[in-house]
Amino acid sequence: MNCQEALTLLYDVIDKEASQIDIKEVQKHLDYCQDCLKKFQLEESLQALVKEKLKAATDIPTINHLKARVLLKLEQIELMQISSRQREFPFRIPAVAMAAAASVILLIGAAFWGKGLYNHYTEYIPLERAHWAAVDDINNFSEQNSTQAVLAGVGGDFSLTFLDNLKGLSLVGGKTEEIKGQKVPHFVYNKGNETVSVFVFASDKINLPDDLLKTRIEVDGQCRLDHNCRGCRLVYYKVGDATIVTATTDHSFGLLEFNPVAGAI
Amino acid sequence: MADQKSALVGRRKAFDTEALPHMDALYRTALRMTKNVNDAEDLVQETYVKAYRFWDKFEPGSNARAWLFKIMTNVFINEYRSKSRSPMAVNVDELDDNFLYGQLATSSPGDNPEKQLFAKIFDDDVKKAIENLPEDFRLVVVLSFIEGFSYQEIAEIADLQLGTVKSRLHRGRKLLQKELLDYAVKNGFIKDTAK
Repeated sequence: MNCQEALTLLYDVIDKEASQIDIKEVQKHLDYCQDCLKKFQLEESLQALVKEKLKAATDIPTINHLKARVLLKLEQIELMQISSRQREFPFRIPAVAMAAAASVILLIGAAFWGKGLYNHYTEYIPLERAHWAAVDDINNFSEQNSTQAVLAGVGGDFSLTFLDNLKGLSLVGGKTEEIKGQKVPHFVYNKGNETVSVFVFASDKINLPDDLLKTRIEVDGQCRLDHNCRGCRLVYYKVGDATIVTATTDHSFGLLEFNPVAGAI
Repeated sequence: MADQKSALVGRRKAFDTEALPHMDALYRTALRMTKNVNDAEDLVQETYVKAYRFWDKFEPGSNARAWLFKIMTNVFINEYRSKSRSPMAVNVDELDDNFLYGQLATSSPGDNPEKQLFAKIFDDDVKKAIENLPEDFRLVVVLSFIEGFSYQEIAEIADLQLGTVKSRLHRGRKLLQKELLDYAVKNGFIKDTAK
């Protein structure tokens, strides 16, 4: 093998793509040709340099952060898959459900990755205020409005029915609240000092902040998003194309399992 | 419903075991390709989202790493590739195959001139040299040098002919050598004998 032939195989040999026969022949040549040997060494050093300097270029915290980010995103996708399975529940699903689901995905995607979208005051406080108002004056809800009438009042296309009694609490009544510029059905369950609010949103009209999505937990095959704040605890979950938000001021109350929608579980 | 749910859990488990361990490598390459941390993270995330959606198409037992790199390369080419592809800064073909060798041999005497030179080069300078490569060359150089993929794997990942992989790798190497040499000359590590 002459120099020309050896150098033609240079990269194949370095990249371990050359055949065993070629490698042997090249090796024989390099044993007596110092010039070619140096050229091979130079190329090998270059490759080793790049590999060495860049192989460990990423640090562990960065990867851990990225891994958490990716896992969270996968959770979101699963959340959508699980919530789409809830179609098996006996609710009337309007034809626009698919479009609504698609917009929820977009909305959550946007809400999740948009910077600075998390805002405690705009996302949670309005709901907490409405709940506090209900706790302060439960009489506002004493007229037991038909849940269907309240739901119809917001023009939503929901056909949800609510349990009259759950966990010892009774459905007191419902009314329409103005929350974040939307008309939102608000129902109240009560027993003694224990009061639970139930808000109903169209899933495509509710913002789910990124910190909320991180709290995803599965209860009886359904996803729950759990926001714990000083003054109030809010649990979000989907039923059909509605997103239910339950609220209580009692953090020890089993709010995660509190699902007043009849037939959902 | 329980069946569906356990299928979902099983699918996710398989994905976590097979796909997630390659994140480090994907991110490393994404960094070199996008040249910035934010885009690299987005690129890796999007790669995993796509991979998860198409996980049913992955053949169990086949090369998950190459499969993921193929997805990432596709996403990169479709969404991240710089809008105006930078024209070649130098005509690679004018460079002699062994020009760096020639430069080193004449400018810095000793047994291992390249080792002396390379010892002085910092990580960041190598990064810069890689990132200065035109995208097409950069991709194959990174996949080969850093990730150790074979020519055939790179051909499949980047959807190129084998010959194209080899020629791009060859020219990428020459450009890389030129970058590093320019750097060394600029910093006075070696004398510029080209002029």
